[in-house]
Amino acid sequence: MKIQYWKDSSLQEDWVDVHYREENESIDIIKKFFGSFNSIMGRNDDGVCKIHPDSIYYLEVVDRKLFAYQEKEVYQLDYTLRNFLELFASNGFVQIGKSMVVNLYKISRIKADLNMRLRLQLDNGEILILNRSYKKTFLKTIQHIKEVHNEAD
Amino acid sequence: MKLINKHNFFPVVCVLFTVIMLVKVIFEAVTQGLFENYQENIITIFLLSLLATFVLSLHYRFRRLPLILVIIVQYLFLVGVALAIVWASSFYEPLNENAYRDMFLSFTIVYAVGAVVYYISFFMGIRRANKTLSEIKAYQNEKNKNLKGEKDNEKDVE
Repeated sequence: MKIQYWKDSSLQEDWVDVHYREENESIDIIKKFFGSFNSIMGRNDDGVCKIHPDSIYYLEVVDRKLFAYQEKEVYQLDYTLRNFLELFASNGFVQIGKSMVVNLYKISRIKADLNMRLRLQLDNGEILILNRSYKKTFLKTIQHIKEVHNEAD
Repeated sequence: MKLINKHNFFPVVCVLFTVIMLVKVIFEAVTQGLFENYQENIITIFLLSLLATFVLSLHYRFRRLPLILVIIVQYLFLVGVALAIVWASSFYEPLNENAYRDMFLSFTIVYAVGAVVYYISFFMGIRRANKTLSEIKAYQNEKNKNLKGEKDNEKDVE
């Protein structure tokens, strides 16, 4: 395998392209290696654990600490909500309240309550309230993702 | 640049109609000294529309309050102002015996129709959002399935 390194101080960010003829074991290892860069460290009572952003259902700030909620487990993350969104918004995370972010791909259904607030039912049965201030951004985001998918097709 | 399109067609008609009516009423008042019931009604309806639009536009300031409560309080305030205008006009001219009832109904019917339209569009928006969400998830699931299939095929070949 031919490997080249290029140093360019004018780059906005560091990036890697991998060119391959077909997927094989080496490519798989490379994918896993670079995929690990997308993992984040979370900690709970059992210790520190590597978690993948896609496994997170939603995030919430409690007492200025950011917590990530998976299907059953909860981890504390060393990010601010804003930092996390900057890094992982492309994974489908969207803000639904001042201190709450949800993973769009984990929402099973949107419902309205009597007070015309939107309730997001997640795949694990939990229900989150979508703040009216964030409704427009939320709806725009899902529409945008749909358009991106349509263009990709 | 296309000034009138399908999105602003009806708003443009409404603005044109309003401007023409107001200019006509003011012109008649200035040149012919006409300011009777017909002109007075148009000016009153215009001022009430202005006030109602302003009050309704403030809804974003009350996002922390329950929406139903905001709608009811705004309605009570506006209908109160409308009836107060009728009451104030009673000092200058005799009122029709049904003046309060007519004003109440004129305002309530328009407000109720607006609320129903808003309610229906709200639920249609949710239905659309659910449809979009299920399409997004179906796409993602399909993508994940294809990736898994490719990996399984590679394992079979090996």
